[in-house]
Amino acid sequence: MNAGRYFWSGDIAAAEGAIAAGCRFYAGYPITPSSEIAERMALRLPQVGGRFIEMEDEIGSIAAIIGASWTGVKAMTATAGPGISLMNENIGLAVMTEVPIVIVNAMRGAPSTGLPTLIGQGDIMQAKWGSHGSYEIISIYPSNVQETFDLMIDAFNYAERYRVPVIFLLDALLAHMYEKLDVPPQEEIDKRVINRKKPTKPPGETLIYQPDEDLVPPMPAVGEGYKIHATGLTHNEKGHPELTVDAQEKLVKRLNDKIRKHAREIWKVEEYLTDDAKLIVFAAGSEARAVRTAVDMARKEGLKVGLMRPITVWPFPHEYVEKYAVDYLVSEINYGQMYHMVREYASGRVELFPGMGGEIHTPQQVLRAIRRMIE
Amino acid sequence: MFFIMRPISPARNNTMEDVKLTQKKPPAPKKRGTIRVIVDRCKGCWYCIAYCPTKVLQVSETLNEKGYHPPVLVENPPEKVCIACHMCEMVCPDFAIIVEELK
Amino acid sequence: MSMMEDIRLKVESLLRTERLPHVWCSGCGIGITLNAFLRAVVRANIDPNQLAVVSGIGCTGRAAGYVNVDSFHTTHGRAIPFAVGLKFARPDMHVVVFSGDGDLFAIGGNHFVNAARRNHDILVIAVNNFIYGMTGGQHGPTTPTGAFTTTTPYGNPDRPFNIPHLAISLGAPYAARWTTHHLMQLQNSIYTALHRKGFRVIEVISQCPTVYGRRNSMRDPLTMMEYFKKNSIIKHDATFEEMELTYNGKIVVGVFRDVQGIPTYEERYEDIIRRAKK
Ligand code: SF4
Ligand code: SF4
Ligand code: SF4
Repeated sequence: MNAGRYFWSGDIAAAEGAIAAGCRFYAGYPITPSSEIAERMALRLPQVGGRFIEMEDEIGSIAAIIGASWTGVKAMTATAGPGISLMNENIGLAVMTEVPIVIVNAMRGAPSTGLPTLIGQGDIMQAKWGSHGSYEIISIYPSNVQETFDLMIDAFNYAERYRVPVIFLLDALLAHMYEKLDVPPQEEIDKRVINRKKPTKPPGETLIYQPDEDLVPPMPAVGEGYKIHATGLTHNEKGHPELTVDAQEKLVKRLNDKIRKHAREIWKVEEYLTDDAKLIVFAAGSEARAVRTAVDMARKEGLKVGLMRPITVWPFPHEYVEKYAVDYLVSEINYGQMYHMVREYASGRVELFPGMGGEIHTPQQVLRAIRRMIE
Repeated sequence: MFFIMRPISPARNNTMEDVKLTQKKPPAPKKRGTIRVIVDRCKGCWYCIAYCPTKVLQVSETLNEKGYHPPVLVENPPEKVCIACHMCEMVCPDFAIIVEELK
Repeated sequence: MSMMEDIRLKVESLLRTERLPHVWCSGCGIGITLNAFLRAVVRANIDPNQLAVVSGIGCTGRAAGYVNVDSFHTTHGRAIPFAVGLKFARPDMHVVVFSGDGDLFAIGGNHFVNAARRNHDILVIAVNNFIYGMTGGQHGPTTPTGAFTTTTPYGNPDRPFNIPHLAISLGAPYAARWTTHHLMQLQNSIYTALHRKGFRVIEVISQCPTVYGRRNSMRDPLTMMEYFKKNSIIKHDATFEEMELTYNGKIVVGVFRDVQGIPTYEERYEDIIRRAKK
């Protein structure tokens, strides 16, 4: 897209951000509130020589982008809760075989079909724990349209840099909300773009799952002669199945450590008026917008309150929580998810201000919760 | 990797004779061949023996690593010879046979 | 070196030989099918670097692990959509899905149906051994009515898929069925299919002596081969009814459909790109 000021929804910004990041492959299945991402990609990808395909379901969609990613292309899909639930098995495959992909989840009221057009934040734990086994992924969650565009570039950077699926959280409110945003010139974006590491040794000498120092193995593409073998079975550095305790220990540990070790490089957290705060409200996505207003209102009343907004939701930015010896109020549109994470790391009191879904809290509601907690 | 093998007791051989899976009538022996068996790949299904048109393969006495008896070539010239038809090689599910043509 | 000797040596180079012997049981037909496939690849002179093999889960799913080309052992039922993504992103590659009946038609049935409908340029080699072998012999979507398996102890009440009929009804340009007994026909069929375009389906009726044969009085690998030999009839113009498989009944084999010129999904999308760029 040409540089300039646009008026886009979160969905459109996500699609355009992906294209700006170099995404050239999209496979998806329509689902509210993410369908506009697919629509935008269908229109835009062929214009830039990319490819769009509407698959038969979400399982097919994620399988297709994993296959496509092995050709060296940056690939993504977008969905909402029910679709993510279907994708989870293959998210595990992408983790195990270390395939860079980006999955957008525009969260809506849940469980089950829930509230298709209305907000929920109930998929935060699922983003981390959705597939079976112990693994780490990266998940980021913007709170406005500009940030959606900008963070999409980071999402692809993380996926490519660490060879890991990145779950890009949106919520129904943000997905459908139109806002102004500035698109920087493509040359500037290109300077920020990170591409996957390619093997430096020729085929024959390359073990395709031999990690570098940073625990991430370089990734060959199909058709380059590397005779890749990738399997969801526990495998050795050749990529061949090796169903032993030792191979499992080595592989699964590395898959987790390659993310944990780089957590500090990955973490992005917004700290708003937290320096002198006695109470920090912890909130993400659209909910954080209401909380910010509530914090401003509380400050006017002389209450020392701040906002902590995790932009990186996973790996959980625990050092930020630990940094402040204060009480936390976790305001989220679910019945307690990030709350448990904050509780694990906070030294003071932690309280939950939940919403079951459908709408975010009003600033007045958050303010009342703040007052209650301070008293 | 390649072993020379002796045939196993005739009793065992007879069971093989009962199964007639040979696909074609043996052609006139224009070509001659021999087989190499990659012994440790063999799983003793004996398809090769059943599919050999000239019936020159037999169950050997040798036991491989996994405990199977691989086939062995036992010729009885001039009629009973390996004609390098490659049938055994094609039917082998374990990639255990390599047919070599004799010039 | 004769041509046949050359083929055999090249087959060897298409195998990850350090991983042999493979996991399949003695006399399992998957190995025969893989052998036929690799021989056809050699004969078709396909550059191994331009070939990708994708498998799902199950006994046949292990095939990807033995071929010395870019190869992917994916999740259960998802070999086809994985291959679809790979092929669509790299239309110049030959992409072959090599998987089993349960994987392709039960858990992966929806993908088969839709990929065939869209006519992706993929060759599907569907090994049909009538059973779920890896999990110990439960009945699957191709188990003949009446057959005995661990989950049909009184005989199978289900009706099995008629795979060539299914493929043809979806417009697949190439649909064939052979058994592992038809060594040359199978190999030739794969060879021909490698030269065709579009969604090509070859069903290979294969023996699973270990868990299917055992419960259906064909314990011995050779007995199953004999059954295939005695009961198959080559009939290229078979009707859909004739293609149906019954318990211990006739097996109609042949190349049931071979048409050319139907645009593939990938070709149609090239046109989309041209139009969008205008
Ligand atoms: S066909 Fe192959 S595996 Fe079977 S007995 Fe002969 S050599 Fe062994
Ligand atoms: S090449 Fe033919 S004749 Fe020779 S052993 Fe094999 S099957 Fe028999
Ligand atoms: S269980 Fe059946 S299908 Fe599986 S490897 Fe053994 S014989 Fe083959």
